[in-house]
Amino acid sequence: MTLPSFPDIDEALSWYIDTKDGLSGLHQAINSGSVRSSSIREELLYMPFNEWKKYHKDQLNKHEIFAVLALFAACEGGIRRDFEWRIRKNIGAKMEHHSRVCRINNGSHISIVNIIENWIAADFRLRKSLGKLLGLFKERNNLAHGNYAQNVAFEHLYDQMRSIREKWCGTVSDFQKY
Amino acid sequence: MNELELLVKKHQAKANDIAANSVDWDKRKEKWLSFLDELNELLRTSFIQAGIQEKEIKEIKYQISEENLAKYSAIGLKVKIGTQEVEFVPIASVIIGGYGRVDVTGPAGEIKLIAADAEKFRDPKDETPSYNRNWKWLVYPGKSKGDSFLLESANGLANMLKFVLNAV
Repeated sequence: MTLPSFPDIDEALSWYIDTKDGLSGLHQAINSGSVRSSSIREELLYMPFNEWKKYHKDQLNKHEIFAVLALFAACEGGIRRDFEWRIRKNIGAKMEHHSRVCRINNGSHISIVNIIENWIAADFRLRKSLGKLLGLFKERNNLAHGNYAQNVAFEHLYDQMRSIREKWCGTVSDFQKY
Repeated sequence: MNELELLVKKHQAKANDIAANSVDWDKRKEKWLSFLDELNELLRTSFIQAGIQEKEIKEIKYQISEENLAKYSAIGLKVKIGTQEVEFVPIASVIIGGYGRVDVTGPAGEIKLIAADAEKFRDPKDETPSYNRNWKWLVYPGKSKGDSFLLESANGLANMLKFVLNAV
């Protein structure tokens, strides 16, 4: 049995592009009768084109927001997996920055913001790039916790996370990526 | 430090964080609208120099509502290039990780123009507010990773249009 791999930000990007194409193909699918969902079929069949344009735009906006939340989840998952790997008692000492990263481990849940802040404290070379990542997660929290509404742009966020990952991997040779 | 002191310190740090990160939203909106004006001017000048007649370039006023900027109007453009039309629609200024978004729509598809910080990674201690920073326009075709590019010249504009116009 093949174990499922953890989604990383590159897979989040592929999923975003593929499903966006899927949404655009929905109109054709309705016309050709190949849509499986009866509620969507009922909603869209015989819909005037102007109404379809609005519907499509609304769906794309929803898609964008959920895709961004998934992107952040993939990024956070990777950082947390690295953190768990790095603090393992038996072999942790062989990892870079083991003791500096470990110091915040108290056995209870640590927020992603705290993990990133700890990394910034552990390696001065990462302060700018991880400072950027910290800012992104704080803005994500504003969206996810309903502090205030923000718009999103998936590709721009992915690009930033990818640049930060490059810097992080270039600085910490055993960083497990996200 | 006892538990009460730790608790108080944590809450005070949070309050300081909120105060330090508070934004002058009026100035932010001013900067966004001014940056949009610069974009529209770049587009208008580039299209006219490329042979598009002024009457083929229309200004459209869009009503935008953002929680921190309230309701405001922003100008976008509708440009006729041959038999095809391209729209530059301002969407919002408050976007995660950026300073603004304009959607560019044509018969072949849609791409995003993002107003981003001109500096890739800033020093975390740099407290320059967003409206006093230098911004740049990035084009995101959104077809594959790493396909973004700067919009700063007629060539950038031509590259962008290839994604939204049907080939002739």
